[in-house]
Amino acid sequence: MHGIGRMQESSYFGDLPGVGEIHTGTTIMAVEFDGGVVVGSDSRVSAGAAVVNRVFNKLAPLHQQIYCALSGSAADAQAIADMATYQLELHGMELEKQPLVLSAANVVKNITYKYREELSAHLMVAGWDPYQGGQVYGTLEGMLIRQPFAVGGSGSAYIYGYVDASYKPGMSPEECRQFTTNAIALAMGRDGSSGGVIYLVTITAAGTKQEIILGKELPQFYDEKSECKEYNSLCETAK
Amino acid sequence: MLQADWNPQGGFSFKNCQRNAFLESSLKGLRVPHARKTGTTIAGLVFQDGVILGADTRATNDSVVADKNCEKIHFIAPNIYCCGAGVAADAEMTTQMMASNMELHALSTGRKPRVVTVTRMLRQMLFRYCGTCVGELKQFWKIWEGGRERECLGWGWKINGWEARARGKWAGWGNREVGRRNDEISPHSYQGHIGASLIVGGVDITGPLLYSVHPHGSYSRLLFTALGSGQEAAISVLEDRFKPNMTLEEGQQLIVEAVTAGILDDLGSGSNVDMCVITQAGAKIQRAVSTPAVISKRQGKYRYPKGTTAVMKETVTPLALEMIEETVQTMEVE
Repeated sequence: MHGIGRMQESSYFGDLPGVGEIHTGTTIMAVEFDGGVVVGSDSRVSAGAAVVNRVFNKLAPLHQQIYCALSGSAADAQAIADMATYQLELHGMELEKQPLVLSAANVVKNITYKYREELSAHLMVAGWDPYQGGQVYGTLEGMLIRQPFAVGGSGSAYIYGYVDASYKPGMSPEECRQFTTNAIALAMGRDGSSGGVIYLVTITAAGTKQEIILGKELPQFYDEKSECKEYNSLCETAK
Repeated sequence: MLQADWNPQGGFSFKNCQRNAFLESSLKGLRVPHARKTGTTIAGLVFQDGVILGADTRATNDSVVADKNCEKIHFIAPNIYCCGAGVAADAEMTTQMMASNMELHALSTGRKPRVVTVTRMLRQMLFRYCGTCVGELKQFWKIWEGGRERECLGWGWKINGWEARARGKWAGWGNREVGRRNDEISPHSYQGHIGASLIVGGVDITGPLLYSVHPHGSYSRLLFTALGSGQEAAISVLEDRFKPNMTLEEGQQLIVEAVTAGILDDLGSGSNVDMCVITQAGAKIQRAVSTPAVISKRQGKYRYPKGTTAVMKETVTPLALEMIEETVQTMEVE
């Protein structure tokens, strides 16, 4: 699945630097484990070349134990998330119990599919319910597909190899968190439109736990490590 | 062709967008007048007791300054104010509509207005007018799949057919009977744009809140932000000097510095800095808190006295005019 491409609107809004619409230009990821899911995202929102928000949380709650991760056009993604939250709340009230993650994914998929010509956003739905446990659904361009893990957004293109090679079924929640963090950090390192901090949400039967991984705590790889000669020499010249 | 609208609809009307597009495409070299953009610097931050909003006061029309002292901080509710950047009319009308809707909402719920409500109403409205057509457009795509040649329906509106535009492509229904009146569909059939970027700030029961809303309807909740053509300059000042839980004096100083950076380093922003401080106690607007760039006085007199240019020759030619008709209309002065 390729990340959604950028939409070229005319530069009507001359006040904003760069061209046109606000994009999340994102890396999002969700991993299922036995008993729940881990959802993660970066925090950069860009408008052309400018970063409009460097601490934006792209993990939006759709219901108590169901989250969605936003990518693509920020306005479209936020609007879909709002619509889905509303419909899901209504659905939950009618059912008089917690809606299934599959229902949430269907709600999002229906909106995305119906208006797929007009909208340019991808919402990944992940959560926990008592029937099927942790589930991750991709709803790219209006399809519905359940996966053991999913990556999305413009940064995901850079980490397909990494996630395919590193994923092992039956990981623990802590391993899943580490897997997600590493993958998103790698994507942030290569994708210009992903960056900032990493937001993580772990959803289990007990509830949801949110974490933020700030800049200094991000995992560092060979070219950023303190043992790396090139990096150290750069630091020296910067001083 | 253009018919009078006997049932005026509230809200925005985009009837002329299609006509303008048609004119631009059919008459080569015609430049449709563009809406005036404010070319702004607006900024906002949250401090320990509330929110401070700041804005410059220059409104530009392309490269001409149209208004040297316009007001960009708009009232929404006694505890909520909004700075607007982008197209001046759009920002003004949008915020006025929000203010009215918030007043009605507060009256009907019996509760004080909240910042999140304003933000939600704003982004839902901006999203509606900036992108998707809800529902209607799908039908027209189906008809379009037949691959018919695009037909221009002319200037005005036809009851039985209309054109919708989605993402730059034209879809037409030709002369098929729609079975509905155009003005029912029109708010949603347009790719009309409201070019307003807004910073909404206020203090309500949940505390101080600051949101930035973009023209297509996306929003962010932030502790400090800047929008407009001068946003880069202002954001760099804010990024450097912002600290959480600042005092009132520090916050005011920082906002003035941020907007001043926009005024001095951006061509589209200028004149004075306006500021609005909102706390639990209420809101206070201060116009022209600071004037970073004072217009200098003219150095000399540039008027020439009469007689500087010598008159060589003077010719007078009387025009022979004949009185044809005279009408006298008396005024009622009682």
